[in-house]
Amino acid sequence: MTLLNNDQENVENDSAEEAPRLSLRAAARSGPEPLRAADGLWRKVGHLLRRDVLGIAATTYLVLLLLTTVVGSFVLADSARNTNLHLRFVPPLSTQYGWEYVLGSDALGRSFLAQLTVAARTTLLISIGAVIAAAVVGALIGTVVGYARGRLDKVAMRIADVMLAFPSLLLALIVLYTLGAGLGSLILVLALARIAMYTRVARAETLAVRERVFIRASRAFGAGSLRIVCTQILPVIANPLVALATLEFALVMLAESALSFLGLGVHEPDVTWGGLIAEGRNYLQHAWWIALLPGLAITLTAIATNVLAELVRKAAESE
Amino acid sequence: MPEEPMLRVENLVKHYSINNGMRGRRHGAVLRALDGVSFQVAAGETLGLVGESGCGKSTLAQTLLRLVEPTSGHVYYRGKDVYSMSRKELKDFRKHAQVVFQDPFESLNPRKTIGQIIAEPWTIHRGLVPRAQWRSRAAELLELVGLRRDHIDRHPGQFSGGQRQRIGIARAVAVEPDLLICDEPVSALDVSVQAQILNVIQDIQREFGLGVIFISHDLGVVRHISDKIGVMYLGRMMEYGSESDVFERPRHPYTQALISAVPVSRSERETALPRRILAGDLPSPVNPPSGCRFRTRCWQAEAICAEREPALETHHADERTRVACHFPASSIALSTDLIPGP
Ligand SMILES: Nc1ncnc2c1ncn2[C@@H]1O[C@H](COP(=O)(O)OP(=O)(O)O)[C@@H](O)[C@H]1O
Ligand code: SF4
Ligand SMILES: [Mg+2]
Repeated sequence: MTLLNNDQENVENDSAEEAPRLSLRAAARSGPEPLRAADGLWRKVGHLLRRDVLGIAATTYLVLLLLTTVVGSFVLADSARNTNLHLRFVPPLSTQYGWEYVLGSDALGRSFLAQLTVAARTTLLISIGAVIAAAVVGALIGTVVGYARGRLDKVAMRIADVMLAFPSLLLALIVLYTLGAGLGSLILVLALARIAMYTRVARAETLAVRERVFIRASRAFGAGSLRIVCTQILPVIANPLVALATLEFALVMLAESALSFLGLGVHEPDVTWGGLIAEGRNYLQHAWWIALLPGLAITLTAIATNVLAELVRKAAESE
Repeated sequence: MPEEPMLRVENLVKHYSINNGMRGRRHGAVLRALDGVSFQVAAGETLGLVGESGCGKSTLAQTLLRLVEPTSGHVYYRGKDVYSMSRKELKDFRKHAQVVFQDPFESLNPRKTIGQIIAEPWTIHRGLVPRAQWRSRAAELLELVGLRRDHIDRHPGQFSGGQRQRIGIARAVAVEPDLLICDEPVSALDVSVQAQILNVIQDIQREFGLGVIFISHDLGVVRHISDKIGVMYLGRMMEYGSESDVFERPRHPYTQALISAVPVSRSERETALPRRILAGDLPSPVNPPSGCRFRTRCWQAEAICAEREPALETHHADERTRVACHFPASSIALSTDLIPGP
């Protein structure tokens, strides 16, 4: 038997020499699924990307969008605020007034590139914030009730049904009326409307995992339910939830745009793409770009995240 | 009063109600997975439990550890009733009683590293091993079960079944238990690997002086590792005695049938049993035969066997083996009665 007091040095030497041979052997023995379980989700997405032109285009767009937003919100913060009544409604695609006006200007003569970028930051912040909030809360609830089963589970699923059937505009009106408009309440509204989706998916996944032997092993060690949910179940069901969250992003962003368009979104000086469209509606005849460009941004971003979501879903399912 | 053994199981019963859609007509039927089982395990002793698949061995293992609640009966660990333990006492009990599961591909969380898997019990029972020593202690445990220290950062998917079972054993002994329940730990493994894993379990049993309940459907596997043998059939114990008694002088027809199916060299047993091939299928535990449950497949069955259920008891004053049979083979008759094997 290998003893506890094994000579340290020997072991070290041993392993240095044997490492490649042994790891080969281990891989060969583990049969049809070598190393697969250890592969990260994003690494697999990267793998799928290599053979997917649309995926590459979508990812490139999203990376550029993120970069522009992060860099732009520093560089362009001032020009987004600087009004210049001599430069009202400058049409886009000319550098006559400097690179900041390459996408034209708005009714107050502000650089529209700067407006778009600043709006992008708010839009992304709200959408990502709402997606993460909904995912975390929804997944936790779904996993807990899926693991606990019984009455709690039944009640939670009824509530989820009601929440998904509830008109989101009505929900938005209620919440915004009680809490007042603002970044926080907008995120809350958008998250509340989608929590039930994650609850359902997390619950279904949990039901499949809870009977597995390693969960029973945890219980045999004396682990409590909350510990099992957090340390054993959530890591296993994370991938489908990440896939869902990626898919949900576009939906949430569109919902945010709709609310902003209806004037239920953030207020000045904050602005989102949806808010820009609402503003542009007044100038459709002579300044088409004010409504069109943010609309284009919303559409492209929604398509790109959906393409990415499809890849994530494929990667998550290839487990 | 005799000294209290480490583990005492009394008349343990587990019935599952199966009133789901699949058996709509049998609304409210019960499946008698475990129907009154009693035995004891002393510290440092190995009890082998054998029986065909579906006779309730895994149910027994899970009920013992209170991973499922029993229908009735008692399990006493060092005199304390496991089923009336408080939450805190139960947690403490789970530090002392551990389990190795059958399926090594299912019993380790695929998302965790081996180091995390072995350290899991230490995250639950704080103070057992200080956090700073988790890694080195886990590495020691890996060596103890015959793996290498640098396996610690790999994931279960990178190991073979035998290696995973070693990891499962390392995790089970990480809490330094004094009772280890092995539920068919080698049944899912290649025959070539089985002996290695059995050796690991036996080594650990000796090193830590563990009480072991070793479950298998294969008598041959149980034989060399066990001090005592319990033979189960349809949720009941049919024969219960020392390893040598049960193997050399099997008294119950079912035990005889099981042993006759184990290939042995003639030198090992002078008078080999006639080969008994069990006729018929295992009856359903939902509707077990009346009287002796084994009677539908027993070649000695008589009228009384259908009427009265034989109790698990000794049949002579001077023997310790307990047999649940109205007509147990007498220990003397056996060697002359039976024709030597081919
Ligand atoms: N959770 C359960 N619900 C209903 N029936 C079960 C459950 N677990 C086991 N059984 C039944 O109990 C009987 C004994 O099963 P088990 O203990 O797994 O047997 P073994 O481990 O000896 O093969 C089987 O008939 C099985 O179908
Ligand atoms: S009691 Fe009767 S049926 Fe049962 S094993 Fe003994 S002889 Fe066979
Ligand atoms: Mg079993």
